[in-house]
Parts: sequence; C-alpha cells; structure tokens
Amino acid sequence: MMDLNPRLINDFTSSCIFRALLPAWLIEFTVKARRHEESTCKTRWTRHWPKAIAVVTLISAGLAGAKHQDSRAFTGAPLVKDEAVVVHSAGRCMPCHDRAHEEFQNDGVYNFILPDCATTWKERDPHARAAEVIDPEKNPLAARMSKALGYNVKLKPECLACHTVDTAPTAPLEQKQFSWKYGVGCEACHGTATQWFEPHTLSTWRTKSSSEKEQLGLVDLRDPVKRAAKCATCHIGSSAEGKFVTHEMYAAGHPPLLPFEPATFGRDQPQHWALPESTKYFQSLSDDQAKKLFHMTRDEQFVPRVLATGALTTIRESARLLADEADKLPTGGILDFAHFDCFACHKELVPDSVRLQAGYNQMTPGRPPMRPVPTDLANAVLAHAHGAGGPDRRPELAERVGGLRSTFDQRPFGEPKAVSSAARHLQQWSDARIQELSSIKYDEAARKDLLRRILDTKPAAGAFDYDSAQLLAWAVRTLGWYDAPGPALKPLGETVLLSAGLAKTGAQGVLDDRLRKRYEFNPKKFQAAWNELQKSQR
Amino acid sequence: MERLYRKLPPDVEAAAHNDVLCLKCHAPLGIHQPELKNDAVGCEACHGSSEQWRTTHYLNDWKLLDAAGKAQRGMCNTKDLVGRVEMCAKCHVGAPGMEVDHDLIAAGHPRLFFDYAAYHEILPRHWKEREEASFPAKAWAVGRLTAAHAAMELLHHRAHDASRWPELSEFNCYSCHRRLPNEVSPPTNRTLGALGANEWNLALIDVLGVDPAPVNQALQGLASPAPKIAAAAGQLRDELANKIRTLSPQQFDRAWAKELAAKLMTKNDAITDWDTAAQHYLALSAMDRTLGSSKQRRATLNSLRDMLRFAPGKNSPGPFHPNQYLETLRQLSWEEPSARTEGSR
Repeated sequence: MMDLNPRLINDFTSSCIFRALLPAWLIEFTVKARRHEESTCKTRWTRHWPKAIAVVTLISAGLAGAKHQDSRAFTGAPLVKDEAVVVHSAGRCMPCHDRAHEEFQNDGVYNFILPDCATTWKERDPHARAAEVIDPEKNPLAARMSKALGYNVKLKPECLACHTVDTAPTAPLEQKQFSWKYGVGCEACHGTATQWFEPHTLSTWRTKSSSEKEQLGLVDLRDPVKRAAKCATCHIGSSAEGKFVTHEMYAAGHPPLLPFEPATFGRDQPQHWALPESTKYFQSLSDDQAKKLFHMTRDEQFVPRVLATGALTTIRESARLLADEADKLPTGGILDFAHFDCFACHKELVPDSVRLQAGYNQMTPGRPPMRPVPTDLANAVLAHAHGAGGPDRRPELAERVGGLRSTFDQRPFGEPKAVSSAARHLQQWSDARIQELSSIKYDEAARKDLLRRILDTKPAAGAFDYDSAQLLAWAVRTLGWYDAPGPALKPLGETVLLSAGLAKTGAQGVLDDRLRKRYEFNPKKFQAAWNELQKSQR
Repeated sequence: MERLYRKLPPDVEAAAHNDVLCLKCHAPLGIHQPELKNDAVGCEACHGSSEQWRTTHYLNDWKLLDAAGKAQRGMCNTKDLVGRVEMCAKCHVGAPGMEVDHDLIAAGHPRLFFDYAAYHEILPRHWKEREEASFPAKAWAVGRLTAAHAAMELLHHRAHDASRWPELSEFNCYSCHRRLPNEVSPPTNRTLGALGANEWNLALIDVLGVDPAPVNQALQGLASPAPKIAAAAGQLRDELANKIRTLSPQQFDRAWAKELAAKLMTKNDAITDWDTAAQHYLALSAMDRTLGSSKQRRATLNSLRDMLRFAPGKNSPGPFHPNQYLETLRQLSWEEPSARTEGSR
C-alpha cells in the first residue's frame, strides 16, 4: 500500500505553493487521500492508482518549484513514498512485534527476541517521539527554532535525517525520503527493510549469516561496534548520512548533544531487546556459532563489550566526522563552530577566571579549542586490554589526540587540512584498536577488572571535565548493572551522578537542563564524589 | 599573562617587563633605555623624544617656533586634537605590531574600550586646555573619527595576514562570551550562530558622515573572505582619513551638539547590543557636557549608564536588553532649562 504521511500531506496541502501549483481536483483528491490514509482506503487506493501517480509526480514537481522560490523556507524533501518502500517506520512491524503471539511462542521466536519489543519502543522509548519534538505545533522549542532558522524544522531534511526514519541514509539530502510517523522508527536502526522484510518472516531467516542479512539491508546490531556506529550517526553525527547538528542549529536552540556512551544509552533506553546471554537461543548455540552470530562466546557479557568497544568507537566516529567535515571545506574555509569546545567561548567573563588560572596547557590562549575528545574512559579500556596481554596503547591515544588538538592551534579555528589529516589518523588508529579488542574476552572477571580500572581513573588534565566525568560515572553505573540489585555499584554510581550534579537538574526543558548541567558542573565536587566511590570499592 | 601568552614552560621566568610587545604601550622608552622602564608611559611617550628639546624648550626662543618647528625637533603637537588622538589610539586602539589581539586578551589583558572624549574627561589634567564650551562635542567627533581610522588601519593589516585571520578581537566579544541559553534575542543584523562584528570603534560614525556598513557587513558572520574584508577596511580607512583631513573644528559647536543630541534620540536601530548602546551613551554624555547638564537629564543618563555597568566580579555585561535601554532613553529631555529654573538653582 502506498503510504502517504498524513501530517506531511496535511502541511503540504495547506501550503499556498501547493494550491498555486495544482489544479483543484488534484488538491481535493490529495486531501481526501489523507483523510482516508489510516483507515480502510486500500480498495480506494487501488481504484485511484492512476490519479495517485499523477499526484506524486505533480507534488514532486511542485516541490522542485517551491525550492526555487524560497529554498530556506521550504526545502521539503519528497514527502510521498515510492511504492518500493513498503515498510518504513514500524507500520508493518507492529502487528507482529507489539504483543506475544501464540504461534511465535511455539516457533521459539521469543527465545531470541522480546515478545512486546515494538510496544516497549513505541510507548516508552524517547526515539518514538523524536519526530514529535521537531513539530512546531507540539513543541515550543521546535517553534522557536523554526522561527530563528527561517524554515520549518519538521520539513527540513537536515533535521529529519536524525528525527525520523531516513529511508535512504546515504542519499544526498535533497533526494532523501523520510517517514516520521513513528519518529526514529524500527528501520532507522535496523536498516531499510525493503529487501529483508519478507525474508525475515520466514523460518529460513534464522539460518542466514549476519553478512547475508546485511546484504539485504539489515544492520547487524548484535555487533557492538556496528551498533555503536549506528547510534553515533545521530548521537555524534555523520557527514555521509547528512546528519550533523550545526552551530546554527544550536544557536537556534537545539539542545547540546550529550556525551555518547553506547552501553549506558542502551541501558537507559527502555529495552526492547534482550541481552544475548539472557536468551535461550544464545545459550543453545555452540561457541563458534555464538561468536559468529553475536560476536561473543557464551561465557561473555554483552554490556562490557559494548562499553569497551564503544569508548573507542565514539572516538573513531567523532574523528571521522571531523575529518569529513574538514575535507568538505573550500580553501580558506572555517570549520563549523559545532566542532569547537562550546563552553570555552560561551561563558560570562570574569577577572582571573578558573580558565586563566588553569592555563592553556601550552596552547595559544584565545584560539577556540576543539570540542574535547574525552579519553579517560577509553584509557581505562586500553589499560584493561593491556592487562589482558596486549601492548599499552594509552600513550598513542594521548599522542594522537594531542596532535589533533594542536592543529586547532595553528591558526584561529584551526588549519582544516591539518585537522583533517590528524583526525583521519585518530580515526584509523581507533579502528585498529577496536579490531584488537575483538580478541579480548569480556567475561565476568573482565567486567570486574574493567570496572576497577575505570574506578582507578585519575584526571589526565589535572581536573575532570564535564564530558569525562559524565562518561565515567555512567560507565560505573552501567557496568554495575550486573551486580544490581546487590549491594555494590549501581546505587554508588547513582550517588556520583547525583552528588556531582550530573543527574537531571530539574530545569524546565531539555535545553535548559543540559546547559545548566554543564555550567553547574563542579570538578572539585565530582572529584570528591569520585574519591568516595574509589575508597568504598577498595 | 606573559606566561600564558608566550606559552612559557613552568621553569622559565615570565618577564613581561622585558617583552617588547608589552613595553611598546606600557613603557615605550624602556625598549631602548631600560632605565626608563620605570617611567612607564612617561612624558616623552606622548610629548616625543626630548633629546633635541630637553635643554631648550624652556627658553624664550622655543616659544617663537611654530608646531612644525617643534615637531622637527621631536616634540609632538599635542595641541592638535587629531594628532593627539592619533597618539592615544596607537595604544588604546592599537596599531600594526602593537596590538591587543584575542590571544593577549585570553591571556588576561582587558579588552580595549577607547573613547577619546570620555578618557579626556576622566584623565587628571596636567595641562591647561583652552576648552571652549563645545569642547566635549568636538572631542567626541574627532575622537570617534580618529579612533575609527586607527581601527581600520589595524583591521586592514590583520585581514591581510592569513596565518592569524580571523582575528577574534575584530568580532563582537559578547556574541560568544555569554551564558547560554540566550535570554536576549540576538540583534537582527546578525547571522544566526555566526560571529558579529565588533562595532565599538565604528558605532555611530555614520552621524559624522561616514558609513561603516560595508566593513560591518563584510565581518558579520565572516561573510567575506579575508582579502575582501581587508579591502573594505582599507577603503573605509581612506574615507576616514579624507574626512579627518577636511574637518573644520569650528563645525562642532553648540548648535551642532544640539542637533546631534536630537539625532541620537532617534537612533533606535543603531542600538543593537551592549557595545553600540555603550557608545550611544558616551555620545549622549559628551553632548550633555557640551550643552550644560540639568539635574534631571543627568539622572536619566545615570540610569542609562547603570544599565551598561558590568555586574560586580564580571567582565562581560550578561544579558543586555536594548529595549530597556531605549525605554529609559525616551525619558531623556534636551529641553533647555528655562531662565527661571536656571535662576532658582
């Protein structure tokens, strides 16, 4: 069935451009189509096929025209889906995945997936509301941003790329098609289902290897690195997928992106997925099969592996984004300000400030530093890997990040070519380290050791910065997951978050909350809480 | 500051008193004669090197020399207002090779806020100024044009040097240096999320017949590549030089001050942020001194000034609301006090 998104159509049909471009009968037809879209219009659609095709064509033409007239106000992406895109955004996933079905139970489907995964996601997961938050009619912040930016954020491909399902992630922005009915729906992470929707319903699906499934477009989210990289396309950004929160968007009111830690984000997300080790299916596999399908053996734990690889994957993806964006610049161009340390500039000036007292670590004062690459957590991961028999890679990380940082010092706002080259080095280096981690066993002993190494962390640069503190506290809490509800780490991790001001501030709205957290972050307070935590674990 | 600016390792002693860049403004004569460092900005810093006039300038013959003759012997003509402001501007605005750039400010140097008329007012006089009543207006006009000229010379120089462009002190300090979220909408003349031009030295020069827009527009949001900015700055510098050359000091009389005061009351569009409002206040203040203040007018001016004050312990204005400034501005009256009230005072 052809899927006309009611909201997008609604907006479009109310627009003057639409009315000016199309004959009256077509307008009436499209509006009717919208009204019937969610009900029983299947037969009507079949009847109206020829007209529908005409609508699609004319709307596309209308949009192209609109773009010429005022590209800032209305650079709407093609709004109507081609018949080829059948599934997008949960519409067809729901019937099977929103509740337990007896036949699935009998088939053993619930040995490896949760029966109500779609419901959990739809009702409790913030991703399901990602599109709603960019609707100016529903969210005052979206209205404010639209006003400041001069375009409707819910129609802008740059916004839709992260807030909805982008059915063609690697297509250029102007050719993208989005479905935003279910926000960041199933296919946003699991991959465009055009080719795998049918086969995945068959019993033969389970015998396919992950690479066979990947060829059909299913993202192998069981692979912790691919999983983190997928999240990172939005939570860090991706030039290739047209996902990048620019400084202009921040200036209009986009909340600062949180530091990204895949294991914690996965833990805090209302889980619609099961830990592999908790499923019957995983336990029924041989070690070889388990390694092949889940990238871990049966005595391993998923979360520590996600956390360990995640610490390096986030560095790799941040470096990739920086290098890609630097490469796009023309000669003499300046990196988007979003690549810089927000709070190096955005603060009130005070005489003899903390920053002046701390010094600039041999960097030129007055040159905007790069957005910090938090390395403390990655260092703990590397320390653990070193303890497991590998070489000590920590000095290399410090050297590469230091090298990248210094390219921002060569001239105000950095020397893009040097930035790109240093970032590319860091990206490749991180990638090589991620490969090395695949040979490490993340079992219970490893989890404990990793946790100990995280707790041993001392601030590399004299004092913890906000990002490092946030990541470390999260990591402790998340790795303590396995001990809950026992006595040890989960409550303590929470205590650090609370006493160091890293938990929710109670500010109105996500923008104020995130800003306040950053401004009110007190390194001394965090250090005290961290010391307390270290002491209690000795 | 020296340690941070010169990136000195901890074991090296920071010696700003030997750093030529610092000495250029803080003890210019000390550069070549270390024993004169303690003079700081001493007599000769402004009056010129006295080698050729130290032993003669108190003799009767000296009085017979004209300004050119004295200049020939190394004495600067501080009686010429333009020449005087040019001299102040070298340090207080900056000149190529002797500048307070963003690196130095970040190391702890205060940003520069030069306004000749205001500085003249607060400087303890060690000279007898033959000040006519309209002197503050004249000082303001000459001061603004001359400082703007120095600023454009410096911008022209800076934008030519690709290795250090964009020089951040050429941009509005508080478009970045403020707490987020933004409680005040950014000025409408500013590109969202982009750098705004530092308008301190160019604000209000349009009322003196020079249009700063091309330079401001080129700087706004780094809209133009550096060579274009340099060209725009060079052109404005030449325009200003031309204007200054053809100035007739007599034009800045009481009537002119009155007219300017009235014009300033309608410059709502020009007050977009703290810098432009502060310059606006300084202009009002100079006109007020020219026209003879009244208690009521001073009270309003004081409340405008209070709005512009940085909070205690702060070096930036925090949220500044141009609308509140404009609202208070409406209470300002330039009506001449009537004879009776004059008498009763």
